[in-house]
Amino acid sequence: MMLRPYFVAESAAMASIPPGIVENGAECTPRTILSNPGFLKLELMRRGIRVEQDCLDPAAFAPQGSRASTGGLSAHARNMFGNATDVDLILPEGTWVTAPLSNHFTHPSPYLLRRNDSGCWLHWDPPFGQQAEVIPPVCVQVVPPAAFYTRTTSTGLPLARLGTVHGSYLALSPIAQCSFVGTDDQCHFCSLTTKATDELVAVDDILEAIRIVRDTTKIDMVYLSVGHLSGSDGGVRALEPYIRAIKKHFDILVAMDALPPEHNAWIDRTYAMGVDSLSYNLEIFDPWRFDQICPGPSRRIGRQRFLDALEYAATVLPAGAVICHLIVGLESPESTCNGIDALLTRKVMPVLPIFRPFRGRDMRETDEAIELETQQIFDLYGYLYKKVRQHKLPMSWVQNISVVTTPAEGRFFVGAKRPGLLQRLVGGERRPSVMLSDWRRALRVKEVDDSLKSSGL
Amino acid sequence: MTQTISNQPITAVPKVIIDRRPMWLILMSRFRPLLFVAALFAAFFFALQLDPPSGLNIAAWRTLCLFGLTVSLWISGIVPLAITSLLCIALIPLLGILNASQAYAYFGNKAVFFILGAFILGAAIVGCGLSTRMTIIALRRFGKTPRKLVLTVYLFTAIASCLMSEHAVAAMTFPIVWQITHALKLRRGHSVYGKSLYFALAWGCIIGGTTTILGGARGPLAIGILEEITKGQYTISFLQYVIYDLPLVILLMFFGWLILRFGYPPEIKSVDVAIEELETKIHAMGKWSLSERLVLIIMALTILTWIFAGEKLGLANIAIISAAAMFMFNLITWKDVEENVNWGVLLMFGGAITLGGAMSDTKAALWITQSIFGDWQGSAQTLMLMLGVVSLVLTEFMSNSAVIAILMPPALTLAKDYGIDPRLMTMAIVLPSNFAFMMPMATPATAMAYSSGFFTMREAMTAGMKFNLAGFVALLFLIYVYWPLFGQM
Ligand code: SF4
Repeated sequence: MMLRPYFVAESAAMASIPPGIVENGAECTPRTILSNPGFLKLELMRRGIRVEQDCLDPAAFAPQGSRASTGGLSAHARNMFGNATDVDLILPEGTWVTAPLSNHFTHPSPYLLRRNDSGCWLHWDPPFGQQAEVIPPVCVQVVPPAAFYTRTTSTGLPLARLGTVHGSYLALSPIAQCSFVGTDDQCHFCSLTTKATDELVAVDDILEAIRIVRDTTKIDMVYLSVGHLSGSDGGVRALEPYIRAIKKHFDILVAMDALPPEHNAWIDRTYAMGVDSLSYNLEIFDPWRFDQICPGPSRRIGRQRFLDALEYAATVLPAGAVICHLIVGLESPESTCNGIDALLTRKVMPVLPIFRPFRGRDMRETDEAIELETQQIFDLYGYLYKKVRQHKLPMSWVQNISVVTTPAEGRFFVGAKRPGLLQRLVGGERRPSVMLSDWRRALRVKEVDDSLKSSGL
Repeated sequence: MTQTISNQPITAVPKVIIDRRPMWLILMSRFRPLLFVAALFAAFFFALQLDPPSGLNIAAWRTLCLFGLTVSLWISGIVPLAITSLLCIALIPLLGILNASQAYAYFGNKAVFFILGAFILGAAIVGCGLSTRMTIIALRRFGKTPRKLVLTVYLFTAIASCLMSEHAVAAMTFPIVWQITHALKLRRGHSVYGKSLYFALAWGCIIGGTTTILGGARGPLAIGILEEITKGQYTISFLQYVIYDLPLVILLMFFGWLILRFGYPPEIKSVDVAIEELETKIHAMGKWSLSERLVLIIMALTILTWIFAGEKLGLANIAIISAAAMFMFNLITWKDVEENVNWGVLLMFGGAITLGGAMSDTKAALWITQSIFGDWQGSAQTLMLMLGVVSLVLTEFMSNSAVIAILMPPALTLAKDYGIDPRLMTMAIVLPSNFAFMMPMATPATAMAYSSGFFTMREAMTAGMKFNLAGFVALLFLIYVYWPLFGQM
């Protein structure tokens, strides 16, 4: 639930889009995949890419060793964000994707990245001579990997241990703790193996990490996550020093991923201390499956509390900034659709990461994971897009994410056009600036001390 | 590199209020003051462009525009009173009403320095602990029964407010009364005895503060404006001030005692626990320190000099010399002064006196009074009473210094026209300006008592209304019976 922002499918572990699938009445062939950034994103996330040796400077990628050798959280990060080495691409229509670099020998991807004088191009080029026709390649932008992974803070802490950079996000886990980990309460899909400790990363280290990333990469949001800690505050007190310090030193949006606190007053505090976007990830809407797969959150927090806290948070934070993940593949598509409806009626933005099995916790073996047809996945994203539009919830808070198909990218599955510039500006398609977000907070939040003072007594 | 968090359960829920109203409503309420200021300045600049009404020269018209702007800002309280005053002083030369040196020279008025001296003396009394010791001694000595304790609080605060600012008296007595109500386990909002103790505190301070020019800033301010407008022809001495208002003070004190005695019968039989608490506190303070004794001596000498040689030596000079003596004997530090002197009040004074001077010099005050009271057929007394009532009403909603600053210049012009002694006209305005009995926000003494939570706003208003009536009756007596004894009205 916590400590990882988005799931991605293991490369080639799940079904890729087979040519011949019908999409809105049209054949979904390699040609249509390459011409549809939404399809292509899903494909690349799931099947990865091959990179022509001379196309990129190998040094431009984070060397396998550098991240593998960091240990601790990096192992977790590797599991979360693709095996060891991946590459961030920007597909047409500004669609970000993190594509795992395909292993040439065991899981060869049919997508090949080549460079020529006019830029980088993604080709449909199945290995072992499977290619039946020549399909025009797609021009893509390769995002240079953040220098982040090879640097250390001045106290000697490797930045790769603190988190990861994806798209325009920097995901940080200053508190690698969750009291469920290593117990029967641990969520079955959770990859976190770190034993909960009392050790926290110093606030200064986190600030330095952000400074380093900002110097080299264009990020606009810092994403902080925390697992289950003792206390009723949902980790607010633990993250507060970091969030306040980040807000004090940087003009940047802050997102927080946590478990719901016991009292709504902590949600008020969460917003007051500087959180711009908040996630309480229920993960599974089906009550029975939630109880089975997420025993800790189910027993210690309760499904209803998730829904209540989300509903309340949506009255505090800006529209569209309260987010809840529902993992595709851990419950039936009907249940996910019900979840989408239930969340949207509460003005909460659903985000649908795809379940990714990993070594040691392959839930397909226990029937906890459900293999979905590609069309079912397409339908889910299409449904999400249509419903979000219907509820007029701005999709701007979940954008430029490279490891999950965002609600706005759901338009690729229903054949909707990209909104025009004006529509993007007026219709909440552009994420609010830090200044606007801070200004909203300044207007809406009143510390009680202030109000006593303002009474003049 | 790392830090540790406690894993103890956290139960305290933080205190944050989220305003969930629609954003446009929030913006409206947040920016209303700004819009008001913008509209005010727009109106001000528009008015400046207009031709002056007949009988008014351009400087006087501009002064009137500035007067309107300043009064509106004072009343609205959007910017601190002191800042409004400074703005007013700066605008006077910019608008060509007076030249800069004339405008800023008004700031050097004696009243400003008198109140500065009084603040420093008050800081010395509070700083050395003399005020707390005196309060505890008085309460312990005279407050043996519930009724006597209320009466002691009432009389002590009244007497102390004759000698130092009523605000300072309220601030120093409040914690002691709070300790008493706490020791007696009186329930907030329910205990009648608790109500009577806090009302005694507030009313004692207000009435006592009316008695001498030391009770608050309004007296010196009014005298300052009187001296400026009459070009030093008239002033009011320390003793004269007391003589002019004594019957009113006695009447109000008696009335207050009646209300406390019969309106709030105590529900408790003994205050022994509270007295024990005070005993403990006074023991903890130890014996009289040398500095307490010296401060007491200097204060006694100062008051005696004010009374007997105030006119000859000048009130402000005596205050400043006494303040200097406090420093010479090492009884106060500059840090105490910084903490206890209300510089805002001093700045507000400067602005008000300057504006008053400009109103008088340009004859704007004369024009305004002639326009309002030109056809007045009533007697001089009725006029004084009327202005007194205006002052009494205004003071419930705005600072009493602002009331003085607004009413004094036209009132003194009228006094001249109607042959009223300007000193009495000054008293007719300054005395009711202190009757802030009703609204807690009108004076810090009532605000502090109200913050105890023992009485409600409604109770404060009901009791305050009675006091305002009593004040009106007392003012009637002064104007129609007592002051005529001094000859010229
Ligand atoms: S066990 Fe569950 S709640 Fe804890 S970190 Fe893992 S997913 Fe989150």
